[in-house]
Amino acid sequence: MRTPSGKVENPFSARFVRPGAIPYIFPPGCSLESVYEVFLGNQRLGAVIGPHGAGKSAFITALTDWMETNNQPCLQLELHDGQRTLDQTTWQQLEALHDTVVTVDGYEQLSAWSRYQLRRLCRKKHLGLIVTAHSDIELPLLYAPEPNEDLAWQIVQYLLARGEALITREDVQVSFSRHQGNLREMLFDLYDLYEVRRTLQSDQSVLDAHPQH
Amino acid sequence: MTEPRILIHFEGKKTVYEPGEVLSGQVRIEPAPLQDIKAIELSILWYTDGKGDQDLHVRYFRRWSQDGDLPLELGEPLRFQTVLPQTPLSYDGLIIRIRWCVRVRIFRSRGRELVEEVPFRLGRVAPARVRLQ
Amino acid sequence: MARWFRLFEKKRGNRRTGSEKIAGMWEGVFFGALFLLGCFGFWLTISLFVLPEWWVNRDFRPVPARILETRVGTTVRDGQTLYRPEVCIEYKVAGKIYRLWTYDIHTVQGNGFSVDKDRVSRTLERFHPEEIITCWYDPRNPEIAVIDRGFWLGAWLVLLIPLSFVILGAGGVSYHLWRWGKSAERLAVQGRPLSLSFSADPDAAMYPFVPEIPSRMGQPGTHLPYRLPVLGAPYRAIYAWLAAALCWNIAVLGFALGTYYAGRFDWSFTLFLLPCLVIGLTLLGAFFRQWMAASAVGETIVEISDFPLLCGHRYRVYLKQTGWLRINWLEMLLVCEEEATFQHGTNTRRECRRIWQKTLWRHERFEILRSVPFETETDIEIPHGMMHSFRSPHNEVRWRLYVRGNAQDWPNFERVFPLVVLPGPDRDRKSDLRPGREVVPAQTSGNEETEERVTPGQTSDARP
Repeated sequence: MRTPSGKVENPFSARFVRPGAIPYIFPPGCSLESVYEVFLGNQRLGAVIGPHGAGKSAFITALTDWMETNNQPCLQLELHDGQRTLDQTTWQQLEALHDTVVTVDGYEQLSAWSRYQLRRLCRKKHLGLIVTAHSDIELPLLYAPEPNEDLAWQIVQYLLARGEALITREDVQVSFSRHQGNLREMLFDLYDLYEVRRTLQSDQSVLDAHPQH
Repeated sequence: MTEPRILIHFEGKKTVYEPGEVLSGQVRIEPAPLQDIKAIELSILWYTDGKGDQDLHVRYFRRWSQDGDLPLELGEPLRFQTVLPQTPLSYDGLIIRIRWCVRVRIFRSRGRELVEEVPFRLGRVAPARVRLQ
Repeated sequence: MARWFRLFEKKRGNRRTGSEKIAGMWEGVFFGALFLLGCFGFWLTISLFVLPEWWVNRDFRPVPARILETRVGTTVRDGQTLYRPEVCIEYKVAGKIYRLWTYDIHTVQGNGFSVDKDRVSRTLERFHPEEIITCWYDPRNPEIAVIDRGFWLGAWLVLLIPLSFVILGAGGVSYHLWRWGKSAERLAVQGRPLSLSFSADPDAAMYPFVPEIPSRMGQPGTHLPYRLPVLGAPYRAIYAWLAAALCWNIAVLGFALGTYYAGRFDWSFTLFLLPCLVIGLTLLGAFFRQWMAASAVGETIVEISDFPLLCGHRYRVYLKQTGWLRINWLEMLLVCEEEATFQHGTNTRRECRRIWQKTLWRHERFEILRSVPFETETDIEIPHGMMHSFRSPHNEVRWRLYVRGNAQDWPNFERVFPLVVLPGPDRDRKSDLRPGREVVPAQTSGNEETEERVTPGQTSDARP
């Protein structure tokens, strides 16, 4: 909900920080176009490798949106909760594809057999394949996000543009360090901090307006 | 050409409603008439916000379109009315918020669609403050 | 259908065929086959081992017999030579003399062979020609007689295997028969775990997105009108430990029996077996501890004067705690929590926040006896202005009663009782409004102590 000033109540809410909600910020010298060139050079195969909360899902969402804007059809698959295989509907969907890039978020959760089947199907149908994983896998490395404090601060500044400037750079440094570079956990942490400060600010403004209370 | 504005008015100029109360109002599009409007959709809905994935439920939905069953009569305000349910009430929690609003979406033949949303409160639930006794 | 039968892992992801009915049917067929296999195995074990021995012990009559000869009987099965003890005896029944080679009922049936020749030889050393012993004959057919009537305990252990198939298969078939043809809404009403039926039209409900009243609320209270169901009964943990202990110990026992029965005594195998036995004993110990803790702690019964609850209203709550314990402390809390579920990347993350909590009562240092359970009553009030119970796919506001305690020599225990709280009727709150706020959380009148009624024989602050 927007307050009368047009700001949102908490810019760290889940809907503002989910993958795709924040424009992906690349390090200098890197861009979606350059990554796509690498992808084409790897025979349209690639893996996005990084630890938890590094921004793999955000990256793959940004890349998919860019490819679709540039008339490259994509199919996004997202695996959850240790999902070990793809269901029948998904396999049928893949069988019907042509000239499409398939992205699989959480590829390493698939069983070895499912992964082999997927790679074979993509080869057979000439589909591109981009996956995310936490460690090296059988696909060539496409991109490895490495978040740092500067990036974390840039993301937070982007979010704070929707709300109040209640989070400082020191807050970000402390939280980023506490969560050992896990941006996702850092943003959850900052949600709570923002909420506390917003409440305090609101209480203070009430007291200032009505000092007799 | 100026961008159209969506003006949503609640009858009685209320912002807080009780469960079971009738929510009624009207929507005006200014400036009028607007030839390039294909359709207008109005929803009365609630959604969650906070640390969880967003949930959303539309309580009331109406669509006016030039080629549908309910032709747009441009220049005339579009009226809406519904009985608000008993639950869920608007809520300001620590990690969950529940928001009610009236949302209007304009689909145009040229240009991007326009969205306007006006919140209202259902019920009088207090904001959550941690109290452990 | 999962590729591998997973004993302890919850099925994840979406592996069904396009049709739930067909998938359900095949699962039913699978469990049916399991059930039939178990029944067949059960019947086979019973008829081959258990019944004959039972029959011999029950119906056969004793008569003196003279040993004529002993020998080691042999046979070849699957290229392996097998042995059994055979004793030739002579006995008289109703004036007629019978002479036959026998040992036990399995020998009579043409079985009783094993690979252990040494054991067979040692068995025969007990019997000497011309010796008079007792044999037991079948009164209906005196030509059948045995000289050994013992029970083979291994048969009872072996019986556990087909029995587990029967239980599993029967459970699976019953579950699918119960589910068959039922809509999600009907399943939700018929006592599935507390879950909102999202496919139903929430707008048709009187209180949309308020969790349904638990179906187990159907059981009336004995002291107050409504008995609250308990969440996550400790029995699950007990069953889990029992299942783990049984599976492990049966597997180790079967492995050990098979190896020793085959005469393949091996020190290295014994060294391997020892830690397995320790693990098995540990699992059994854990099961017994859980079971004893559950037995000692007993049942926790909570009843309430009305259900569902309304904000701003007062209710009577009754607690009865059975068991046999020296309680260090026991308390009841009324709690309101928020739970938000979100999927980020490939993980589902759940966060829970307690936003309101009130300790209704706390008692310290008293005893609960088997014949004298602990009982107490108190008032609870859901403050006016609090959020009602709410559940949507990813977000939940819930109210619960917690009963927690610690007893001497036992770990802490906790019982959780779900409540459904509806929004209360509005009342004039102008006197409580503070500028800048729309609503202020209602408090009880300021008196934090609640009236407690304790059963005769126990003081409200009982001490040993």
